[in-house]
Amino acid sequence: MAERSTVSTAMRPLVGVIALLALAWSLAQADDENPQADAKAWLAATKQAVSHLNYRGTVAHLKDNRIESLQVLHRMSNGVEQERLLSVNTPMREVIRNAEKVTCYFPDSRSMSVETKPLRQSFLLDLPTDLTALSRHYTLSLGGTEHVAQRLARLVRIDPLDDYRFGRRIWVDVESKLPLKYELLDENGQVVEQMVFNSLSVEDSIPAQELSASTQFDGSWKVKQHETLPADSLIWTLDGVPDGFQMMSYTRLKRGPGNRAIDHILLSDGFSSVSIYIDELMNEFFTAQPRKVGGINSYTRKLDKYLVTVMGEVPAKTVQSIANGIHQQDPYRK
Amino acid sequence: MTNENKDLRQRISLLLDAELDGRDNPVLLDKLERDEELKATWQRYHLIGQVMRSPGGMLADADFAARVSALIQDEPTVMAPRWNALRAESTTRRKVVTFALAASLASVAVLIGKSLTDNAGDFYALSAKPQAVASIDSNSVESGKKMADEQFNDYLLMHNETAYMAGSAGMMPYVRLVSAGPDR
Repeated sequence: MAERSTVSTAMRPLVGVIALLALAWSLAQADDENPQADAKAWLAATKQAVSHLNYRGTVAHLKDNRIESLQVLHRMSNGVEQERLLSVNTPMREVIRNAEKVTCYFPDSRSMSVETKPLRQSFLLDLPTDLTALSRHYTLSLGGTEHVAQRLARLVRIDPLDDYRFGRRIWVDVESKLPLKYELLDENGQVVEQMVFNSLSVEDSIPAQELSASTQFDGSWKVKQHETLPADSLIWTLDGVPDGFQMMSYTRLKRGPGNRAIDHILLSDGFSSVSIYIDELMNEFFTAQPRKVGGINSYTRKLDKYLVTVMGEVPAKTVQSIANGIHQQDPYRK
Repeated sequence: MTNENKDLRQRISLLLDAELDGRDNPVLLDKLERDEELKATWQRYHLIGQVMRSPGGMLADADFAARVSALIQDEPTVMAPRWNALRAESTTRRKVVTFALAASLASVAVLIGKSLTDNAGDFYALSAKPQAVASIDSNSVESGKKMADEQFNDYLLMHNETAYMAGSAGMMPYVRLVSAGPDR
């Protein structure tokens, strides 16, 4: 008994130190009283970091039990943002961004596309500008810290408030605020897609020549064509779209023999994007099949003489609801 | 076959595959309209293309070819290229929509609770990518799948390519794009 008491007395100063440390820690966490606002601050810092820092790294992208390794380079010089992303394995695809212009090279199909991308959006992590509007459909919260790619990272959780969207986990580098790891979670909380930096280096500057395309192409490469259409030319009504999704773009693609026209409507709720394709119905023969590739679900149906395909990083029920809710505005005017 | 004929046929084939633009080749189009033999060639190539695109159904009928030949004989004019017809039609059918770009679609309707079990529309998309004629047999289901895969992969690429416009895509659409191989 006496012995135990002695030990306990000896430990008293240590207990005091632990208590002080705990107090300091709780003060440091005081802003967690509003966890949603704090998580938003972390996401806002991440958005700033991905567009303003000079960095290079190797990213592993996992989906459907397959891992792809990619190189990422980002440069901000004199207010001009440049990015380069390339796969290190076949099919060696490459994406180059110079300010607003984005060029995608597809050596596997000997084709390329040139797009104009709004400024200040990263290849890695496009975060919504209006984080407040998101809280109608997602809960943001902060998790603990852990190491990713040998760097200390803070976990930011993004959980959907209904079952029409997927959740996300982002591990943000405490020092640089870059996203070190990203997970997309399905409705059962299972990871369906993951991106993680294997190596990352934030640098003062990166030479411009490292941001230029390495893909060699010639005149035989096809340039994918599309035209942007005004929203008021839309002939489709969308009745099955869950709350929070908005139309981001309406384009017409030209494909295949005879430049077949395919209408492409892009929707987004801020985190998740959904594409609607309305294509010419090629053939009356079908076999049933909703599809899933990594975190992307897709659903296809026949609509009169059209083929409607809806896909996006959302649950299967979301793409089905959207696909089933598409109608032509005036089906009797043909 | 003369060399000139061979060249013409090659160019017709390119035209059909949209590798030649009709607008840039008025002489070829003119010839095509005037020359009965070329007309027939155009029809034949069209038919070949359609058969190649079909997973098998079109070959079921034994006298199918004979009937098509008869129809071609009876056809007084060249059928307009498909894309022209489509273009004209889509123009006349454009209608004004009720909501503006980026306006919330939420007000249009939310179908929570609507039955999603109507599987009548479940099917497999068959694309227009030409396939080997040899595959039109018991393998037609497989070949149909392959064509649908190609079409699906094209959609998937476009989705990942344009998802940045969502300003949000959350998870790096370009990483998906470069990380490529939609399931193969």
